[in-house]
Amino acid sequence: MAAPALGADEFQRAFAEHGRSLWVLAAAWVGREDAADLVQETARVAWQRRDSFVPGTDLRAWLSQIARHQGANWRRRRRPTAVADLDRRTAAVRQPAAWPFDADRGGLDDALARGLLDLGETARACLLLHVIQEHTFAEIATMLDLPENTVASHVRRARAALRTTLAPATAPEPVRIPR
Amino acid sequence: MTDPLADHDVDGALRRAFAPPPAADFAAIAARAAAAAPMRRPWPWLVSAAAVLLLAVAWWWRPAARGTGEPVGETLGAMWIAAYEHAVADGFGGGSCCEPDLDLRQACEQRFAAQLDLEPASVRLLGCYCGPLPTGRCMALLARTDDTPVCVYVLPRAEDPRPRLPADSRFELARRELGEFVLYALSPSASAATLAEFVVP
Repeated sequence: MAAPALGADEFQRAFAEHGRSLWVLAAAWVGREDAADLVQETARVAWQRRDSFVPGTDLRAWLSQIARHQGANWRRRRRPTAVADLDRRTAAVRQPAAWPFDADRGGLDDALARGLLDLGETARACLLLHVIQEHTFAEIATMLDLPENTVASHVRRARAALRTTLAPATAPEPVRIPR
Repeated sequence: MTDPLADHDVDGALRRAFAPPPAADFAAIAARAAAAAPMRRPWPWLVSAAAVLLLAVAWWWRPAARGTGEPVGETLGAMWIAAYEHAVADGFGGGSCCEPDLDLRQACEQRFAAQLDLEPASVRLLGCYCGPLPTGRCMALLARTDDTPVCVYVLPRAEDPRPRLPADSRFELARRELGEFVLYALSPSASAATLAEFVVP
């Protein structure tokens, strides 16, 4: 049997190097409180699939892909679906999983939490990876399997949306000119 | 028009709210994952296939079974698991997948004289399973639901073999009756959602 592509030491080094980016991606998907758990799940699956990693290819992109899939499964598991009704031919009730970004729970400013909640998860991931981890648009495009122009557009629009949301807190008070 | 000062404020707020844990924490996460992983079986589909063969032989030699010749119950469930694992080992969409341009409605019409179709939202149909492992008298489909590999088995409802999975199986088997058909979806997680996207035209 051939040796696995990633040994244990290399696997740990990979997570030391890319774990923070995976955490930010996870937080964009499932919220800050569950991000570490999702990264742990990503590590478990990545270790099981380490033989599928092709040496010389982008390890961060490979880990990001696993994280994205685990994030989708995570959200689907937490989405209520009337599975038991399928045999009775009633429509499955599918409700979108609310992004767990409750301001009180997350210790966030209300306006910021509200603004982030309004962003789509892809735009949120692009913005956070760019701002928090200072990834270039090209790096984010590889991690999220998106065109680079799309990433740039997401970041630009997300910033504009948050500027609008935060504006009342940052705008200067109007100066009243006495008559 | 961008406002550098406002962008600075937004970025600062995000950095304060989303500061990730230190890198050493993630090295520890990786170490725990590697330490907790169970011993890997080589070629799991081959082990499952061997189990299927033994079950099939044992089932065939049951006196009551001689007349029908078709696997049912837990035997069929084990066969489906083996086929799933073989398809995964083969890349799930690789050599064991044929008819990538499958016209599901036409194929069901020809095979079962009844129509079935897919209105995909999260399900992507890859084709039919055509690997070396038996799957009983059904149409065995390979699909991905949000990138999770799922095997979908389509049979006439009147011939439902009532497959079951072993009690300790790591798989989920969902069932749905739809028109003339009974559909089964097999995957490691949340397979029921896959079946919701099949429709009778």
